Amino acid sequence: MRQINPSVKVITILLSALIISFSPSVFWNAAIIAICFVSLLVSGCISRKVLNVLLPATLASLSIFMALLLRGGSGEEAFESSGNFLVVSSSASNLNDALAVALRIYAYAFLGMLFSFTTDSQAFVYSLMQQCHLDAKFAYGVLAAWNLLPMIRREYSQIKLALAVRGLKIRPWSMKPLFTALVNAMHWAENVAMAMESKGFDENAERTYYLNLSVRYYDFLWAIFMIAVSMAWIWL
Amino acid sequence: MPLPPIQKTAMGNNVCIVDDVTFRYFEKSERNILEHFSLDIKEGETVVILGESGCGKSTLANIICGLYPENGGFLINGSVKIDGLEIKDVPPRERREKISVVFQNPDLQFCMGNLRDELRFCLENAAFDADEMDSRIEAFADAYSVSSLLDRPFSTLSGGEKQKASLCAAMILKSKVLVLDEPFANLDKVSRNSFLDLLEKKRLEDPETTIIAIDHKAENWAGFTPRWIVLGDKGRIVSDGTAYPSLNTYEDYFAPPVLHKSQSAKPFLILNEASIRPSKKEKPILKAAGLSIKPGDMIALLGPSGSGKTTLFLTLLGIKPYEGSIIIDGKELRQQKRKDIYKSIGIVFQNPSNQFIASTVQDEAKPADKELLESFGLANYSRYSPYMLSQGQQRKLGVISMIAGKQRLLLLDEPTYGQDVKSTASIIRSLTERTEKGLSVIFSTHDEDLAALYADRIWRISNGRIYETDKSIG
Repeated sequence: MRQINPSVKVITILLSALIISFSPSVFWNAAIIAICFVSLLVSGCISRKVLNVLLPATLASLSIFMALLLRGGSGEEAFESSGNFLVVSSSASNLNDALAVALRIYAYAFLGMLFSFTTDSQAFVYSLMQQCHLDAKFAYGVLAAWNLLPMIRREYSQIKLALAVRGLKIRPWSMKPLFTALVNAMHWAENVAMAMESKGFDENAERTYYLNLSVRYYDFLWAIFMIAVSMAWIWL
Repeated sequence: MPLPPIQKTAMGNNVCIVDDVTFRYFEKSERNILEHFSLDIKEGETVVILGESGCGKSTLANIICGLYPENGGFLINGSVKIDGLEIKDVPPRERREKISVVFQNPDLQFCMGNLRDELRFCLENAAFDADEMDSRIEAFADAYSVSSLLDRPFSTLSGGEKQKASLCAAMILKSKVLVLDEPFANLDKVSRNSFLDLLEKKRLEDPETTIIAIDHKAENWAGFTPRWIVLGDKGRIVSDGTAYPSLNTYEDYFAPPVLHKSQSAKPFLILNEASIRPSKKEKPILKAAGLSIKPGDMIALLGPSGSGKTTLFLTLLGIKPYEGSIIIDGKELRQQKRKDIYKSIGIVFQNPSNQFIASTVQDEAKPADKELLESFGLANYSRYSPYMLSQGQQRKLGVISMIAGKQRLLLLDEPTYGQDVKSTASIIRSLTERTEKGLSVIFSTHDEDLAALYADRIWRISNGRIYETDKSIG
């Protein structure tokens, strides 16, 4: 999976996700999950991280599953009590539909993991520049911001502490530390931009890339395969 | 006042010519940062430009590199030529062959996640062949023995290592001029020397490289026997020559040390066999035994970067776990509520602007009276936004907001960060008035001289222990 071109990967996965959002099929949703799982397994990406993603996904899919199932079970009563025929008839009303929707949530989670666990952020940005002609200024700006994240996190907790010492009550939703962090971020952006420029970064000049990514035949094969599986429910 | 241009000599060509530069940050403002500034620097020269905070030396560095006025400010008059070309006419990519720079803040210089990627980024910018990048980087790392830095994420490097990495990025393309803008702003001596070793290697390897260093301490560069240039107000050249500058960084600025008093008072804080750890999962990094603070004490906390100075402060605020006993105001620290601790202990962090909660200086300083603002020289700014103050003024405001209440102990975390001695000294001098009334102060610093001159007592951290040293030994 790491060999697949990141741009092709992200477009394919977004398309797949879009297509299966219309899919009523339990089987093909399960197939997507299985394919993603095997791909992750082969790429050696099955670890605790997967559980961290699946836990909230399970919660979400279970609650939707229960909601749809119960809704289906009490369809008659709902119809009688609400009297709104459209609501009742358009809602899923059997086990199959509930299962399909629940599995769809899992499929989203797996598709997301398939991308994020097998793609290097730097390679992704390089690919966006080379295949999707993303502006170099924007791309490197994103990379720089990404690499600043650990520092932003540290700074944010320092700000919260600094404000707490001032006697301010800091809650998770307090806006004040965010505001201070924003002021800092503006200063940083200026500094980093100047540092990049001083290293010869010039959006208008020709540049080379350490990583030269291209789209090869197996990228296409993989993309067609994924899209085909996602669309299979239409015909089969 | 324009200075007569320095005559070219046969020794070498002028690689950097600053000609009659006048620069200001706001077009309409009256205040010029540099006024009719001229300077010629020859190829292969090492020049150290000294001056107080606010004299325009960092601005000068940015103008020489071509970063100003492109990224801020207005060049009212004059020009800068590097290697025969006007810097403003050279596009950034080609500028790189002529001039590179290491900035003051080690955290804000990198675009990538580690040094190897950063060096690749530099080579990419110069349109280097992708196949040759790795071998070039390996050869470079071998020549300067920095291989161990290449693959460690920047977020795990110390400040000193980051500055070395930044120097590597500046050196990889062999630019003719290296500009170092206060590279030691927050480094201890060991990191500083390691950086200087790397630079010395560069000087031996490429003797034709010109080095322009900006600093506020001459002592940092004593081993390099450079040409010294001392700047006064608005970039006026006070002296220029090879003799070690006679400006005395300290005595000019300091009132004679104040002798202290109140020896009979009860200690406010007692550390008894306390071990301190950065978090619950980590091992203790600091042990302290038998230390105490009395009202009115001015204590300097000395120790290399990463030795736990900040962690000690956070522990005293009740934020970090500890074993043993820390008694504040007669009560065990861990049994007190944080809210109550904050009422009696204040702290000013390295970045004081993080602590601001109000939109004007006056509101920020509450419940301070005008007198307190006046004694720190901020009375005229009471209607300003705290963010509009200079870094030195921000720190003063931070201090005021922390002692305006009933705080009895003030912790100053690296008050010298990004500032010259004068500005720190003025804070500490203003504080002595307060210590006479019973406020205790601990300030952490790398600066041994500052500690020796201003503190009554010195706490030193070494090998994971904090102990009190005799001031006279230093």
